[in-house]
Amino acid sequence: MTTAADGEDMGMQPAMTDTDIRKSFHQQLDDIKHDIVRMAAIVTEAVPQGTAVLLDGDLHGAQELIEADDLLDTLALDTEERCYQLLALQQPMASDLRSIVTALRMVSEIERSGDLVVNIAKGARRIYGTTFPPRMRGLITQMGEESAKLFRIAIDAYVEHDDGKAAALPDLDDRLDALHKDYIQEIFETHGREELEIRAGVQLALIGRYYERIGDHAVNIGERVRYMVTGWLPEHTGAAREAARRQTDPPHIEPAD
Amino acid sequence: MVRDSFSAELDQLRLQVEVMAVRVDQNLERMREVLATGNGDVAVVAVNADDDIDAMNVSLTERCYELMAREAPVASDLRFVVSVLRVLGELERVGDLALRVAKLAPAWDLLRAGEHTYDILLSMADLAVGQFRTALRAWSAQDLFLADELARSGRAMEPTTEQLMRELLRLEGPDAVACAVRTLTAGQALDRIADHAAIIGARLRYLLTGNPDHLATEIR
Repeated sequence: MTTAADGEDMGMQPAMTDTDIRKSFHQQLDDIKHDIVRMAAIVTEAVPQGTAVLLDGDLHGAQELIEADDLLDTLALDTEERCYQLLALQQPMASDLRSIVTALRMVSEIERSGDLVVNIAKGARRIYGTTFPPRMRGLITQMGEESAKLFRIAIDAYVEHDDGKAAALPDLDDRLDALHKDYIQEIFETHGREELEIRAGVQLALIGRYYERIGDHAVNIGERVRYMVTGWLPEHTGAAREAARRQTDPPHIEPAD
Repeated sequence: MVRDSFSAELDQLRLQVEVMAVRVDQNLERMREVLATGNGDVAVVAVNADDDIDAMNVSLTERCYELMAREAPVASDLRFVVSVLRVLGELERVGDLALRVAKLAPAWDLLRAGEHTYDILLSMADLAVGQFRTALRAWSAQDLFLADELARSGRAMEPTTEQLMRELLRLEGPDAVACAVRTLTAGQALDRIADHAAIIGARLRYLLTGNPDHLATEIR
């Protein structure tokens, strides 16, 4: 496999300094882990802020959240590049290799989760002035709490190398999915009672999906943690499903939300 | 000699990724058929095919990890293996999104209830499939020009998505929100398919040039 950039290093500039090279491999890996946790903490704190912005119609807070995403993007790019440098210069094996590959994939999960919080803030701006019925407020609050909780548990699992905690995430995510279904139903019913304009209904449906997807990203992070700790590959889930299905009935298509 | 054999393995890996992309493309075609006809049987075929795609993802991901551990690749070879890992993730997500639309088969009547929004959805499906096919061609040929075009297209779907949103707000009647929510589910999935195709282009551009500035294109 040859490319136009053959003969170069991974293309990462600037090259590592002497100090960087002297720094031990594990110190560099720890730095990367530290930045991943920092990124995750930013998202975990941003989720409840996004919920508050939405429910309180806080335009100033929405703007702050949208601008704060730039820091997350910068950190993501920087962390990804350092992962590549480590891979190229240190040629790690076994568990160290798994740690770097995990870090690489976690960066994009966290960065995309941050984008979803930005989407919630933008959605809040679009429906500024909307009054939420009490049940809908309650469901939004619960979805915000559940998605932030999932994210926190996923990162705890990463920090503590706890594959048991990581493996519990899909079951925890079921609760968020159930809340999301109730929430969509509530949008239908509120609109049916003529208490919600279609403009707000459409935006609220989108916002519900954003919470649901933050939960999905937390589950993905949990899968990567399991790989890092045990070598178990999350992609096995699909293969296992395929094997099981071939011994059972054809799939049933559920009506979508 | 050892490096020659490694090089052949990387070439094989590139071809296998292409095969997986073709399978995803087939499911995109099924998705489009479900959207056009509401045929639930085609949706079932798509669900089964997606598990085959997942199985390919397993075996190719494992091969990447094995190659990294065994060969400790450097320079463009390392860039290739990590890029394959990234592209596999994107392909798998495109497959999931195609399935999300196909699974709307039972809600097809509701989707069609919004005359204009339904037409826009069909256009979005054409655009999304078109973007993905460009990504597939770019990967097959390892074509920098196509990759660059894709990466630059960025949010090519945005005007159509905005048009969809405008039309959704004009829906009327008791089923308006129900129709809007289903249409949104499909529209968002199609928008994201196009976005993932652009990310594949950006990743390929980084792979072919080695320029890390291109990594920033993947950050949204």
